Amino acid sequence: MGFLTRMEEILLLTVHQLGTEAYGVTIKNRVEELLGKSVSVGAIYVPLDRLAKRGFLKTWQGNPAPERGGRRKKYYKLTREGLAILRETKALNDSLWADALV
Amino acid sequence: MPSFLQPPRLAERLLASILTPDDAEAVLGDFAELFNTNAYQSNLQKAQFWYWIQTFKSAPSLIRLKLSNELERRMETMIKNLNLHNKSSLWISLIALIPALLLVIPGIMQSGLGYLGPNDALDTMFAKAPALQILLSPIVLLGGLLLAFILNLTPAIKLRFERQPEGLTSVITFKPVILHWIFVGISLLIVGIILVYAFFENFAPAVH
Repeated sequence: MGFLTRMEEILLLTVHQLGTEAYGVTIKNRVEELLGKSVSVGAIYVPLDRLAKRGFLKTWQGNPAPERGGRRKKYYKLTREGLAILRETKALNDSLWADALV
Repeated sequence: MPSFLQPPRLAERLLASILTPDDAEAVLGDFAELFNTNAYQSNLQKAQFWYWIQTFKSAPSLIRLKLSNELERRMETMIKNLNLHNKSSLWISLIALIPALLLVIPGIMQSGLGYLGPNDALDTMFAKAPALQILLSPIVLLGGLLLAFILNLTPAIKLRFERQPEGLTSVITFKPVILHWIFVGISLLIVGIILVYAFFENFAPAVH
């Protein structure tokens, strides 16, 4: 299934945590909270798009929202494959950290 | 609910120009939502400044996104076009071109590159199996070229005649079937090479 970059791992976890409210703005805000630094709006779209193409995320359009000038939100949801890769990544991280001197 | 504040139009247009239509709605919507939050939390000027900064900071990522999506779209179109090909025609053409390729490739390698290997191998092959010399007979060779040309040109173009008040008009449509066009090109190229070779062979000064 391949590996995830750190940013991809963070984004998948964020989307999972946000549940049905995962779209560009909420994902960006949550990632900023997690990283403790500001992230450019555009920076999250490339990895999100890549994750969707790899089948780890599915997307759908919301209704037009007035606070967005009538534009629709693009929502993200973790797929079964997305959840599986997150579990694999966690197992790998756990085994890597198990013998580390911390 | 507070009323919607319009983000800087020029910056929005700039962003729209580096986004595919599919991505534009969601991305511009996210920018607009964040802009409105900023404008109501601080003030409009600060929010406008933020919008411009974000536009420039996001541009490299968004251009990358557009390029990757465009590339993918083009690849999909190419694969779709490949499915338009008549696959049996392609295979028959490939076989029909073998005699001409057997003649032309060793010839080019010998006269152009001075490499005799392929021509010697061909001579050895014909010495061992003389029946194979039929492959180089004009009927098989030129017939193969003609067959490949016709088999690939017919699925690649569509010719239609229309009766117009001023007379009969012909409409030729060139279809996006790349492999068929490649075979048409190869057939014409080989015919050209043979004609040039024949011309020089006949008109070259005789050496005594």
